[in-house]
Amino acid sequence: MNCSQARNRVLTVSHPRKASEDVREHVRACAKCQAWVKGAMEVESALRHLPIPPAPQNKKSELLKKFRTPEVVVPSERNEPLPLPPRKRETFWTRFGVGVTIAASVLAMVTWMGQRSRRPETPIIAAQPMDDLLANLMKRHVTLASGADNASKRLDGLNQLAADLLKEGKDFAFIASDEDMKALARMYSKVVEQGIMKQAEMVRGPQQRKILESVQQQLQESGEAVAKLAERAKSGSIEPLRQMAEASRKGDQHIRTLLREDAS
Amino acid sequence: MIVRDTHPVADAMSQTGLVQSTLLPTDAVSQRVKPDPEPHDLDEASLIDDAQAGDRSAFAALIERYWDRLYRWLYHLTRDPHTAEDLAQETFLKAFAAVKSFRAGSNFRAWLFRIAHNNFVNQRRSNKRTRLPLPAELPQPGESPVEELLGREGIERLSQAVRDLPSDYRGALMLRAEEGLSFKQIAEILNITEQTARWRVFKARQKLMSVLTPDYFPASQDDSPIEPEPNRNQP
Repeated sequence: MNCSQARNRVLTVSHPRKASEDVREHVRACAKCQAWVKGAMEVESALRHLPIPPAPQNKKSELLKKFRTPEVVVPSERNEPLPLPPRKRETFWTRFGVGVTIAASVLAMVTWMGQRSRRPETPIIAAQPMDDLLANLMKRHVTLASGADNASKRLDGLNQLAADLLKEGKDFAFIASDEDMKALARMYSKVVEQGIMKQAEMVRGPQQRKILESVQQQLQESGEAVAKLAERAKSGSIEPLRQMAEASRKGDQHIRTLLREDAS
Repeated sequence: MIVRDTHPVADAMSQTGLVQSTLLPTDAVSQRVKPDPEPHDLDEASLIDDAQAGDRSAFAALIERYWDRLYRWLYHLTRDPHTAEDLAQETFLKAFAAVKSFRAGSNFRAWLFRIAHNNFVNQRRSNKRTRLPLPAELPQPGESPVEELLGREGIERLSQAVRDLPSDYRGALMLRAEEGLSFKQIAEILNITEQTARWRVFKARQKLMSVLTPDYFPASQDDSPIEPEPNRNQP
C-alpha cells in the first residue's frame, strides 16, 4: 500500500472498527502519513467550530413564542365558554374565523365610510384580540373607525390590513388547512380589490403621489413574495397563494395606471 | 449523555492504534469539544409523543433543541444567513404539520434534516434564475482549541474552502463532521445511496486537505475540480 492509497482509505473511514489493519500498518511506518493524519484530524475537528453569522431575523424566538402561546378559549355569543380545543388546527380555525369576521367588518365599514365621507358616531368594540393577527386587525379597525376621515388614512389602514393578512398567509402556508387558506385568500383579495383599489382612486392632495407609490411598491413586493412561496407550498395552499399574488398584481397595476394618469 | 469524538479519522487513528498517542498531541482537541446530545433519549421520545398528541410546548422544546444545529447546517448549505433562517423556520412548521406521521423509534433528527434538505432543494430550484447571494460576513473567530492549532488564518482558509465546495458535498460533509451521522443516515437525509454519501464526504475531505495541507498532499491535486460521483442512482 502506498501513501496515496492509505490516505484515501483514511478519508473514507466512518467508524474506528472499519479501519483496516493494512492501513494502520502503513501509517505506523510512515512519518509523512502520520503528519498527514494529524492534519486531517485538525481539519475535521475545526469543521465543528467554523464561525457562522448569527441568524439575522430572530425567527427562532418568534417561532418559539408562537408555540408557547397558551391556547385561548373564545367566548361564545351566549357568554358560555367553549371547551378548550384539543388540537392546534382547531384553535387556529377558531381564531382564524374570528379574525376574518373582524377583517370583513373593517372592510364593510371602510366602504361605508367612503360613501358617507364622515366620521362614524361610535367606534365598534369587538372581542379582545387573541393573537397577533387579531390584535393587528383590531388596531386597524379602531384606527379606521376613529380617525380615518379621509381617503389617504383609509388607504393607509387598508394597506396595513392587507399586509397583516398577507403575513398570516405566509406564516401559515405550510400548516393551515386548505379551507383556511382559501378563506384568507378571499379576504385578502377583497381588501385589495374592493378596499385599496377603490380608496386609491379617491386619494387627493399634495401627498397623493407619495402615498400611492408606497402602496404600489408594497403590492408589487407582496405579489412577488407570495407567488414565490406558492411554488413550494403544500398543494392545498398553492391556489390561495396564487390568488393573493394575483390580487396584489391587480392592485399594483391599478395604482400604476392611476400614477401614470396623474403624471399626464 | 455520550461524549462523541469529533472525527472519524480521529476515531480510527486513536482507537485502533493507527497513530500512537505520542504522535498526536492534537488528540486533546477531540476531548475538549462540546458533547453531542444523544437524540434518542427518553426525554426526546416523550417530547415527540406529546407533540404528536398536539402539545405545542413539547414541540417548542424540540425547536429549542434542534434550531441552532439545523440553522448551522442550512447556513453551510445556503451560505446566506437570511435564507438559512427562513428555511429553518419553514422546516419546523412543516415538521409540526407532519409530526403525527413521524414513526416512533426512528431518528427524529434525520427526519427533521431531511425535511430541511427538501426545503433547500425546492428553494434552490425556485431561485435558480436568481444569482447566488454573496457570502455573509463572518464573525471573527474567537480563541478556541482548534484556532490554537490551525490559527486564525487557517480557520479562514478552511471556511473559504468549505464555502467553495459544491453544496451537495458541503451538505454531506457537514452532516458527518458536525452531526456525526453515519453514511446511511446521510444518505437518507439527502435521498442518495449510501455509496454516494460516502463518496461525497470523501471527496469533500480530500478537497479540504488539498487546500489546507499542500505539504502533505500532491500539488497536482490542489486545484482539481471534484470529479463526478461514481454512482448517482437514487435509492
